[in-house]
Amino acid sequence: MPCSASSGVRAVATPEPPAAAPTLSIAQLQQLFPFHFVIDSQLRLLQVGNGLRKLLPRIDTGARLTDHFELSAPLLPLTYAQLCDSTDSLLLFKGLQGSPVLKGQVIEAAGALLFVGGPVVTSMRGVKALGLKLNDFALHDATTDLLLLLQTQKLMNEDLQTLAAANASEIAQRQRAEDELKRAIIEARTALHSQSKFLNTISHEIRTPLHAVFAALSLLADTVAQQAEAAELVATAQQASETLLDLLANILDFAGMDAGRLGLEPEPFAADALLESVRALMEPRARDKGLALQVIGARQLPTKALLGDARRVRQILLNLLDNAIKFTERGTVSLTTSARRAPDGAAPAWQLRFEVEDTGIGIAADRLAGIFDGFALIDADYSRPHDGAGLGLAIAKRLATLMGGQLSVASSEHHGSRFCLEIELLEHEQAPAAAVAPPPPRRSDSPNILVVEDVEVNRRLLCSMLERSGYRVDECADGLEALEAIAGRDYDLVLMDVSMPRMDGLATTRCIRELGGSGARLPIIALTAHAMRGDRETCLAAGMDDYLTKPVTSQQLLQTLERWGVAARSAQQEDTNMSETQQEAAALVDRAALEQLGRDTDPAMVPELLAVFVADARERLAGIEAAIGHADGTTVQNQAHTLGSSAGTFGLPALHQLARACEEAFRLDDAERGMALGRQLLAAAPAALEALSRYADAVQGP
Amino acid sequence: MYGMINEAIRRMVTEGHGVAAWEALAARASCPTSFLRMSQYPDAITYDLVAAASAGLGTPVSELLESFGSYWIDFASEHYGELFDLWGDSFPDTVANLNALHTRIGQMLPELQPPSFSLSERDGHSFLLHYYSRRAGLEPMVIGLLQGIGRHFATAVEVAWLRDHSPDHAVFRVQWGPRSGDA
Repeated sequence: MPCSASSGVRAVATPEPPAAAPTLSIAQLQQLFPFHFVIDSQLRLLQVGNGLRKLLPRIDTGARLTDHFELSAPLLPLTYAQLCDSTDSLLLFKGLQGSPVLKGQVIEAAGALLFVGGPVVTSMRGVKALGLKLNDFALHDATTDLLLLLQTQKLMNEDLQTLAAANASEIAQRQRAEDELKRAIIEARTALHSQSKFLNTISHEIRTPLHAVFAALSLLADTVAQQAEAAELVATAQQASETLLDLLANILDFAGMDAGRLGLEPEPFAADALLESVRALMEPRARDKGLALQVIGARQLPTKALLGDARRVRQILLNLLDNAIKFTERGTVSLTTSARRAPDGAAPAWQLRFEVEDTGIGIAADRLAGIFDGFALIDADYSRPHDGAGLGLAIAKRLATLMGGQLSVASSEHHGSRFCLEIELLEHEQAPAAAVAPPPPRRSDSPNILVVEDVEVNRRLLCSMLERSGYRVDECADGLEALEAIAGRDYDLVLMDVSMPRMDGLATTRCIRELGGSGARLPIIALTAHAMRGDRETCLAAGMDDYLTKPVTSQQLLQTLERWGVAARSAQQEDTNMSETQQEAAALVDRAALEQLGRDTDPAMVPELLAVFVADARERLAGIEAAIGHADGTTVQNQAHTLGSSAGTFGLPALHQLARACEEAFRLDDAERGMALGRQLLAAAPAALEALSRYADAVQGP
Repeated sequence: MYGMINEAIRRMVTEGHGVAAWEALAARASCPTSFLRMSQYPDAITYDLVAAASAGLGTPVSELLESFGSYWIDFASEHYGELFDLWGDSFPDTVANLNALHTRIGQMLPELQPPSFSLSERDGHSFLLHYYSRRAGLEPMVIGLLQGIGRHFATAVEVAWLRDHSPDHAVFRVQWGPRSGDA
């Protein structure tokens, strides 16, 4: 083809098709189709491929095809004519023994039929079973590729199974771990529940007989008042019982702390009143040991109510002061308070700081680090003179932390210690919540009290205690009996145990309230050994009005009855609008102090000494009354000081506390409060002095 | 490389030196301790395993590769059935089929980068084997492969790497004796 001069591109000639197709030699046929055969019109084998010969060693040219194979597909007779008509079909020739199976096609060539194809095999093993090798197949034959593919797929499937098994194993492992975790959680919860149940039960079980001990000792103290040695033994037993009760409370708090169940119950309270109550309780203990207890800075406390758990704050301060007194042999114990407004926050708040400092034995440096751990004692060996299980500081620390505050200590051995409690409390808008106002005092000479208590000894002791105090008492052993009793008679107050057979105290109370009438307003006081957190709320929610935990002293019992306006003749006061402090001042004479006085002097001298004191006290009270009239705070303070000092010695602890409070108020320049306490002192003193006079008469005898 | 190679290394080390030795080796190479045979892994894993094995077992890399080549024959045969029973009747026949084998397997495993082989100067007891590969440094493994095939046919084989024969591929002179038991 000439070039195209204009374009410069050489044209490419279209190739001519060959005049004839390329022919194959026998050798080439063998190489390309090793399993071929050629047959004539009689189905005689004219040529056999080397591979086919290897497959069927007995096959040879000249034999008929039908001597070795049958047509397996299509299902047609094996004739030459049929094969000629099947050149466009896939043919399967099966060996007469069932094997081998040849797959292929036939074409007409040079007056004969040529079959090309190969044996059907689906595995390497199948090839081996036919006696063949892979290189018996032509290179272009896909049979080898098919076999390799099948084997590769098999390996891939095995990989998938391995993955699935590993995944299943991991899932099973995770499931096992999850099941184990769930089981551990259930076990932990069960254990916690069991522990909680155990604590509830053990608290109840210990408190119940301890109440009997308290009650019995209280009654016994009255009985043996004139027998000095017996009185001392009773006092010792009482003190031991109180120690046991404190220990029980600490153990329960510590166990609750350990289980994460030590909580706070915030309520509005007055900080100054709390401090005063702490001072009132601890000052006698300090004095008994010959120590001076200084309370400093009370004026700095906020006058507004604060929101916090006053009971727990008090518990911490009492613990710190108790320890300070315990570990100090001489010198002073001081409680210094300070308060300042917290930096501006969402709500007004106060930062309070309480420092308890002593001149005691101090704490060695190597013990200071663990001082807030449970069971840490300064002298934890057999010779230790100090009592206590060491739980108080651990509990105090935990409580401080719960309040969001901190409790710290600075100390050196032989040079005293200083514990510091710092907490922040919110101001409460309302005044401290007062107790529900009791109904006005009933004017019955002998109020009717219904005691509902299933434990006979406790019931008998309670009744005896009340009867001695001038009450008329009916008793029931369970709630059903109580309902019957209330239906048949009017009562002024009910003392209700909680755990009772047949009908417990909660159900009984709910019934009484539902019945209405006088029962709707009947004061019902729970007297129960259930003292765990939440028990008080449960009783109040059932309709009870107040809550006392066993063991309860006669003093606590009588004070509660008086608070609910149910005072017997022997405990009734004149209508002088007395405060709680005044009521306390008119309480029991401290017979133990008087017994001590007798031991210190001469028992026979006691009546005379008491008479002298009573006369002197009445003079000083007259001086106080006159000073109040003249607004002479200095005289009131001085007279209160002298009266207070003597009152403690002569067995009038409440009068002593009232006088001290009056003196302290003046000392802190709170004249208004001082005058008010002076008036309370005047109101309370006569009954106290009267009681002391009766005691002196009783001691002196006819 | 496909996981089968790494799995073969694992088996070889475990069978020869124990599971602990293998786990230490895998840790040194920062490699997994097991592999999926038909999954593709970076070549670096295989090289790291060989290097770690060399360091851990105190065996030169070339010696390690040669041992592995021989071990590979049995390992691959186990996974591909009676492969070597069907691939040739003798040592030379099987070696002659190596190229076809690798080509066909390469069809099955698309990410496989198999080597190529060809024979020249063949007579009744020797030939030159030409080895072409995209990966460098695996010539000792070829020697091991040939030794393994020879062991399979109970045929003593001698292989010499003709390092200077060609600049672009490796050439080996392979000589073999009669099969044991043959006349």
